[in-house]
Amino acid sequence: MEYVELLRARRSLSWHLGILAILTLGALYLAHEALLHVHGSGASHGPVQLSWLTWFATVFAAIYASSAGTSLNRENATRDISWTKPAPRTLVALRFVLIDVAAVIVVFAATFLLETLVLVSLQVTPVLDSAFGEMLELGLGASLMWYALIQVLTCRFGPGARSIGGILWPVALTIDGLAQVPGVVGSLAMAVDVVNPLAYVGSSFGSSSGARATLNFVPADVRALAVWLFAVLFCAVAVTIWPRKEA
Amino acid sequence: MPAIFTVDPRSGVPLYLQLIEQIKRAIALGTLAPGEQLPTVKALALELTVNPNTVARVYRELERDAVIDTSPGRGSFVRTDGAGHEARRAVADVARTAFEGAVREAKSLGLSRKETHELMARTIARWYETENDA
Amino acid sequence: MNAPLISITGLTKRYGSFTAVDDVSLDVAAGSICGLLGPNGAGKTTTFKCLLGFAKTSAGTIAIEGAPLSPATFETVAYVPERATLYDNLTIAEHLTVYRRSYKHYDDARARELLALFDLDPRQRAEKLSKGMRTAVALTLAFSIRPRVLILDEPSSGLDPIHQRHVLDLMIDAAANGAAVLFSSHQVGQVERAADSVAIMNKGRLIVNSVIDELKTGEKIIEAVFAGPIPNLNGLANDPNILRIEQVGSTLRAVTREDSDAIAQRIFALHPRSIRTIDLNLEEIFMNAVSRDQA
Repeated sequence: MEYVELLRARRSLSWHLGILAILTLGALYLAHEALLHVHGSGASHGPVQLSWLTWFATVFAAIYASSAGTSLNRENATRDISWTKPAPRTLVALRFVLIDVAAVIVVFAATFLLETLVLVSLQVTPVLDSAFGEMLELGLGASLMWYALIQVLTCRFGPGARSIGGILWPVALTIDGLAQVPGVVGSLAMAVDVVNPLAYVGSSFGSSSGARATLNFVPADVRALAVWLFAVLFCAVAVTIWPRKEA
Repeated sequence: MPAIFTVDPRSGVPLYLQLIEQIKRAIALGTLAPGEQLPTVKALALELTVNPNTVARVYRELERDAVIDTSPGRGSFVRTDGAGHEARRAVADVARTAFEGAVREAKSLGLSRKETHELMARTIARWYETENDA
Repeated sequence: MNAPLISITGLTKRYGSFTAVDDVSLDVAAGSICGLLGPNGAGKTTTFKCLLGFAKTSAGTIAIEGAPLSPATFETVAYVPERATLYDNLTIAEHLTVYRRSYKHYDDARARELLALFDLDPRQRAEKLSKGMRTAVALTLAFSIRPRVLILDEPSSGLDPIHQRHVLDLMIDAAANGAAVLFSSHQVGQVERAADSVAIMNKGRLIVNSVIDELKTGEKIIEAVFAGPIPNLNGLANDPNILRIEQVGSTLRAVTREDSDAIAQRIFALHPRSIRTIDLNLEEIFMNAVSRDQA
């Protein structure tokens, strides 16, 4: 395994999970305060569907994915080392990707578990609903697709491209929003939206708050599969084109 | 080894020639004794910070000139027979070249034959005054 | 023992209409050290990049240890680029770990020895190191894998003279153990000591490729001073072994390529007042070669 990427992932994970832990503690504290106040009011929270918990896990995992997605781009600065190793360059890139993917999954799982912890401590029962499996697949797949999209967009460029990870959020939101617009603009945006992870999840999450329903016409199970396929595709492309960059 | 060699990469003379001359001089003067072992090619190259092939070439030429003997596995040794003779001959060559250079220089500076001769006699007198050799 | 470990044949690299490397052929045998000299922009770094597969060649072939470049080749090939590349937020010790995990022949004892030689503290982070120290780390890593082929781009840059001498010693030691070393340098004196052959590049072309001793034996200046004005040279200037003739006042200078004795005889026949042969060191030979090429 690529030691340097292991070190980077470890450091990054520590940060993200640390922040997550602080958020959790904060949430626990606030929630208990609230509980104390409403205790005895007779209002008890109903059971929460587990599939809803995947929403925050997806978001947090995607946040992690935004920074991990520039790992190959970062490695371009030290190509002199990684390209002169006795291992095929594609394999080196693949090892980077595998470490990152594992880390994204760790963040997803950790967020999910901590959310569950917070709810349980609020004496709210999480309920396994029928949509859970699909939402889990869609959510995790979408955050991996997010990672892979950033990887494929940045792996061939220099350090300036690192900001793509941050810019991609508003860009993705904008394109997804434009896809609603009728006419040529809308159609073009819709075409681009095919590779936009937000288009796949936006319709499942927050539909009641009037959020986008861009790809809602596509059945949920197909969407769930599509994000994984795109994630794998983008990773494969990134791993293949990264060694081709001319020095 | 007691003898110390230096090479000057800045001089136009190829390093291997400089080294050959210095080793022959050491033998002629006795700082390198007959039968004494020379360092390995690698050791001398590292000590002088010169290319190993340069040292290898030096040893080859010294062997060709019958100044040293190299036996594989044992090393390189100053020959006990005749090495001194060859070395002295080489040293004489060096001296002759130096003389030619000095005389040429004097002539191109415009010194007459008589002036050059006087200069040389005075110099010899100064350098040989403390010794009893001719 | 003398099969070429590095073999470059007809290497050409073009970037659009600009030719950075033009038909360069160069061999470095096992146990040999080749110094690559040239003004900035001559194409030395591009040649290295092509050699290591960082850039695709426009023409020509490259063989290392007798075969085209493959990932397995890098097991015994070490490269130190001009600006030593390191992982900025890793410590020196962590760099050693990266190499230990990547290379079969990595020798940790050797690495520690070299760190001590260059006065490096393994706990230091790479981003805190000066340029010279970064070069020293890169060299440590390179030599720790016990390479058979060493490609070094300005390995002395930023190092103090003592450490520079260590670098030369490391190269000499590697060559004495059978490695092939190709290094570029602006320090001609270093090339003169440590290298046995020299390649000089200018504007992408290889203008000199020779064993250093032969170069120094051949290229000389014959200086003759005449009593009056310089006589007619009788076609002396057409001698193919004369690279250039300068006439200043009563002084004639002929730069010879080979066979300087024969040329000296010819000049002697013109009855100069004095005549001498001046040996050239590598720096002078280098500058002559480049200025000849510019003309």
